[in-house]
Amino acid sequence: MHISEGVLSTPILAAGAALTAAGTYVGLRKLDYDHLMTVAILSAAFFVASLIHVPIGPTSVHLIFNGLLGAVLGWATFPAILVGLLLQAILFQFGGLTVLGVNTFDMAAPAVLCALLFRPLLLRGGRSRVIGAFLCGSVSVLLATLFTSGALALTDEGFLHAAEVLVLAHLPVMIAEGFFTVLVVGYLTKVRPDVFITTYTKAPRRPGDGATEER
Amino acid sequence: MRALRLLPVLLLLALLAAPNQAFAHKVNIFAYVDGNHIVADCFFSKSDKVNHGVVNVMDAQTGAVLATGTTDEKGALTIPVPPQAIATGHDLKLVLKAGEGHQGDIMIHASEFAALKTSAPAKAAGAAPAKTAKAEAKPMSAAKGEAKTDAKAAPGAPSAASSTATIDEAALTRIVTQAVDQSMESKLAPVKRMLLESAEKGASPTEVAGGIGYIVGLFGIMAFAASRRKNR
Repeated sequence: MHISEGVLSTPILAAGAALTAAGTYVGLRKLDYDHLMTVAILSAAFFVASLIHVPIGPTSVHLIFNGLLGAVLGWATFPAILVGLLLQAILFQFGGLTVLGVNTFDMAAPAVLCALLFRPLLLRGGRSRVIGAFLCGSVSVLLATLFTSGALALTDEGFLHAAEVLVLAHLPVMIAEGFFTVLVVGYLTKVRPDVFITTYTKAPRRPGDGATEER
Repeated sequence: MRALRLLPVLLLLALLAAPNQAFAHKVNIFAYVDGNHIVADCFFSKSDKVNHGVVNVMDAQTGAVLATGTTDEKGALTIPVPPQAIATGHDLKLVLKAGEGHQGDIMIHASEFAALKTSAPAKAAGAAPAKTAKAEAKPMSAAKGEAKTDAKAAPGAPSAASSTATIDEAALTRIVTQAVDQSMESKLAPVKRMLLESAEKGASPTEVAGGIGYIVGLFGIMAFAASRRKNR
């Protein structure tokens, strides 16, 4: 779902870059020293995920993991995805440097949105957490396809056509990522609740987590 | 940092990813001039071709679309070199649109089809003086098949007398060029195929490992900077 270089018009590229810059700023502000390594590892996971392909009919789509990043990192998803996409653009020529802003926003904004939206569910624990994590994983992918279609529609390709193709192709990815997010979030809340930047556990916070207090 | 325990999982993911390289997110186009046609190959990966992708042949300088074609099921497209491009001598830019924001392009330099330009004036000049020359002056499109008959006709031309030495020289140049072109074409075919295959290379495990390394390094620097700030 990387939009290639030269497809989008300049105003959209500029808008994408501006939104990504804003998101990255917020993400970095909310990021504290103790969670740097979590962001790094999930950024690496995002970087690698796009190489894992799910063959569907004539085409194949790749995993995205943006929902997982959102669930664990919250706003810090922006810098994590920005770094992952930057390296994909440089090393694999996926997307491109000029479309980096739009591509980052298309992936990261839905993740942050889902993290904020499903946080109450995740906080409740038990079955609600499972449902919340699943929704985080799958809805993030769904929204990412819609955002991408939207960016394409603003230039030339019809929104409905692009959205239809992308959403249909990504249905299996949505389901796969939903389950994957459930697994990882479930595991992490049990084993390492402190890796969450978006704290879903009511475990006592360690000193130094002050930056996460307001969320 | 105990979170580092996740690293083996990552490496495992990287290993899983390495062998299957069907990239649905990067679209490639590879093109060259063959005779008076542009031959293009459009693909996502070696096994995954772009079928029914739209290719626009554009003037690289003005951006005007000179010709448009659609690829077949094998991602192949053969399209004549646009006459405008031959006339202006501008470079060509082929833009492949594979839908849903996938786009790739390739440049074809004017030098690759410059030979077609020199053959076109020869047609105008040669048409007037002699009958033998007229037979030669067919457009390049027919040239491949004609090469042999031309070669046969040529030795007869001087004995048929009348025509001047300059025409013979021009005819001879053309015949030789055609013959050389033909033999070169067959000899270069494997080279072209090799180029095509090398262009189809996907992401290698080296790049994957390198990328992960970059991320670790980048965040390492951030952590270092943050730790200095903290200690101060």
